[in-house]
Amino acid sequence: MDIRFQKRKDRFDRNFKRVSNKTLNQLKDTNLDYHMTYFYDCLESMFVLQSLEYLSNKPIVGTFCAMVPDELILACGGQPVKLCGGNYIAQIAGDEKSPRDSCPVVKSTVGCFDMKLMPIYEQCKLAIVPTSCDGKKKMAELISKYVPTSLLHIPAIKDGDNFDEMTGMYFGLIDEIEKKTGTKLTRSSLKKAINLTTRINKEVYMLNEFKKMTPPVISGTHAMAVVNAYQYSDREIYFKEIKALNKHLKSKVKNEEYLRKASCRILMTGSPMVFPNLKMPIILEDLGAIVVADETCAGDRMLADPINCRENTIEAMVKGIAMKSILPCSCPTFAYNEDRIFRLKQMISEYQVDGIVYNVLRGCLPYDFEVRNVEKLSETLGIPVIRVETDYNTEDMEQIKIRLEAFVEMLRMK
Amino acid sequence: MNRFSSKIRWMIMIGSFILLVFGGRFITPSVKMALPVFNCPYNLDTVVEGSCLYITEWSDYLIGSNILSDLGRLFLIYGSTFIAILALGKLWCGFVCPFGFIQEVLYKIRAFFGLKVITFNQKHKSYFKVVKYGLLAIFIIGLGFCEICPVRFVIPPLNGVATNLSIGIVASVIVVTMALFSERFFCRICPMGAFIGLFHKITPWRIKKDCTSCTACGICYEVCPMDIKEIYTERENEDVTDSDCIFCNKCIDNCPEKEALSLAVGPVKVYKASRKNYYNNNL
Amino acid sequence: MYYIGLDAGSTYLKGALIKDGQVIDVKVERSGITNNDNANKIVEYFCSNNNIDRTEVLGVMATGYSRRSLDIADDTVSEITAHAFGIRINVEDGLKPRLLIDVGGQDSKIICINDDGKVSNFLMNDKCAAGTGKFIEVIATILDTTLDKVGPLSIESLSPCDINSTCVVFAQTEVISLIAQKKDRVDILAGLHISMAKRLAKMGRKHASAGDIIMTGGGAKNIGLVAALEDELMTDVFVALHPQYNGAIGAAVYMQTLKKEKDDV
Repeated sequence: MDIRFQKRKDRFDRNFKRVSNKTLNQLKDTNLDYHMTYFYDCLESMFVLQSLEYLSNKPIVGTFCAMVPDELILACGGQPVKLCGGNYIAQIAGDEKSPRDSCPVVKSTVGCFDMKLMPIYEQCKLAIVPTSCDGKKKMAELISKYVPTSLLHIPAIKDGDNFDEMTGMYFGLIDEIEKKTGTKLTRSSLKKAINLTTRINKEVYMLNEFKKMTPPVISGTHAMAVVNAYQYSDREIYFKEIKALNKHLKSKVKNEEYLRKASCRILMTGSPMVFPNLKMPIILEDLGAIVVADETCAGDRMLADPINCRENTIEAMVKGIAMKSILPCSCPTFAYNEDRIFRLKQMISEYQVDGIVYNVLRGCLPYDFEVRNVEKLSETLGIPVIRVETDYNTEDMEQIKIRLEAFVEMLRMK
Repeated sequence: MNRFSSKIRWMIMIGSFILLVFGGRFITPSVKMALPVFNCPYNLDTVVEGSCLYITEWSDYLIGSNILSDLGRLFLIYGSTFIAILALGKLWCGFVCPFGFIQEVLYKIRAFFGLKVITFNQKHKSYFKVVKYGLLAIFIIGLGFCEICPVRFVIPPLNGVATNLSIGIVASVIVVTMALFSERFFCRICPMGAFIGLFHKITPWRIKKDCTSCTACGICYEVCPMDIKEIYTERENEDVTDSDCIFCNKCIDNCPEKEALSLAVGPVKVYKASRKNYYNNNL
Repeated sequence: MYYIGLDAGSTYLKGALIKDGQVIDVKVERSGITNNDNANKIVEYFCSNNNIDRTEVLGVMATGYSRRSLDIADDTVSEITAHAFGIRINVEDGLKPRLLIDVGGQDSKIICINDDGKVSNFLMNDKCAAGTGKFIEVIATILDTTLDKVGPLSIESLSPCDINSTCVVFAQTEVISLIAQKKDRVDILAGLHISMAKRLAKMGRKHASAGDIIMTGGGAKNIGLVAALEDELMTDVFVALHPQYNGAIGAAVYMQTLKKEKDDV
């Protein structure tokens, strides 16, 4: 093999692991709950040890965003894994192949494929890319030379009348997945898959109930690690582990073992924060605030809504999946996204939020467009909001720290 | 108050069915009232008659020389009908009407055999609305609805009562067949329901919506047997009670968000949607 | 009942001594590797110069870039909050500070203050030298003058030049070409100040609300910059009483507020 290529690959691999490991250690440093072991190990195995141990050994099908349903993949005998990149080194690797102004999620995904930075990218049999934003659409073209890609059309306007059209798109997906996994979808396998994800959905809902408590019983960064680990796990095992975590938290509440009284409760919203890019929540919690609510797509939003099937027929189940993936989704890829403002308003009241931190990734225009709407909401409710623009680079840690520190002090004094 | 779930509604429906259709065999009421449901009075063994006959044949009862002697009985029948309508609105449809119960049983049979579902869209709904108000006109004007009434050939025969053959038997066959494949099909065109629906703005039972909590997931629209879209699309007002709504409460049963939908009597919410309730009904 | 505030900036370490909401004394030292010693020196200076005992100082609060490295400080606070507290006592009577424009040596800040004197919003420019004291310093060197003289000189100008770049590096090139075109030094300086004011006004314009605009920081001592900012914003711009010490004063006031709250509880 070309020695220069090998040396380059070694450099990228080495630093990729270091960046992932650093975030993992930052999470573990403040470890207050040993029931997080599975989740940390899952992330470590995937990102640092570069093994596929924590996945099932079924064919890997990659997904992006919150609109690609895990249930169809599970029902076709596949292992769904989220391919959105979050690592700074991958961003550098992808910098050469993607435009300078594209968002870091796209860059790091391209970088992971190009430099083969994690085994899931090498062994992925199919990548399903939703046409959510411009970046994703063009990224699908870029990565199609590394992996077979299938586009999932997401309409820009949610048409409540034409659920059947949306359902048609998801039916098309089934054929593509079946070809790659080699297993046909059946009514019972789909029912089983939906049942599993609904049960996981219930556990995540209960985890959120713990986050709503005052004083808090679990820290925001840990909860984010738990939800992030979902994407890289064997779903059946994940269900057992999150159930155990909830049980443990319940006993903690019973014994009144709360966290140190946090000074202010923060809602994080905006561009996704994919592991290991948990820069902002880690800074916020270092400053003594607590991230109680998370409205980002890599966080709670992915597992927030349940799938409802009117009947036990395949048509009804796929329709239920299609409806859940699109209608309640508050991604700014949809025009007239007032659903998101309602969702934020509801979260602010349920989680008793003191302040909103709006994360904008450099180059993420859809989220940047909506800052104005959230500012208007913040004025109406009297909850301060701060917009922080950054990318995966850690060079601006100090500058972000100053801003967030002043913001937290501002909240404390209200 | 969330044990007020679909199970209670089924219990009330089964109880009502037995009482209304067969009850006359073991109870003989001394007071004759009427309820605003399609419980065909031709079924002689009924405990309480349906008001359908009295509304459509009002010319027979309310005009004529013997009205003064029968005043007491007429008062009871029409009085109980209107009080029932004003007190419970279309709750009669969702909880008591025996024909509604029969339709729900037929639909469950379909599910058991895994037969296909027939769904309708908003365009179909607009056609059905024309039929519905046409039937309402026939019903109220008193042009002899009992001749075309499909219930006349379903409920009395269940109790062993035969009536004169008329074109209604064709209607019965059509309606019963459709109800097998489409949930509560007759309720889309039911003139009694349309009649009660005329009063829907003044009855105290309302479906309330918390538009902030609602995530516009569309589940309520999807499960609604009457295809009421406004309950899903409404984003501002609190009251989403529709004249078509039969209060089956399927929307609330399947709404996953906290209090996004609730059943209320006046200002008091007696059945609220919640995620816990959703999981109880769906897992 | 004395309180001391220390503002550990990147170039200078500033200290302020307050009592009962009045500024008693101020002192400045250069920042450096010996920041801790400098901080101690300032504290000792305050005590000896004002004839007070060290125990009479009830608290020392640090702010600024290297605030966490000062051992003598009892607590730290961010500069944004410190500035908002400082401006409460650091202005002439009769002024209602609602917008603070802080022009430092290496960064500039816009801080919006509400009626309770608390921070309601803020913006920072710490990513490039545009709109900071560095800009003036670099151009002053090219024009063979010093920081303290550029302000008065620029006000004399009757026909300011257009300097288009806000970037310090590219502005240098523009200035050199203006010199080659035999433009007068005062005109170039005026253009420089206008360019800076434009940059600052861009940050602050949409936050200017009911109330007065106050400037702090080294840049506030530059009367040319104050005038240019007034021209750009079309409204009055006032200067704090001790512009460079606003952070230190604010830190001390914040310490006093915390102690008072603790006593009240």
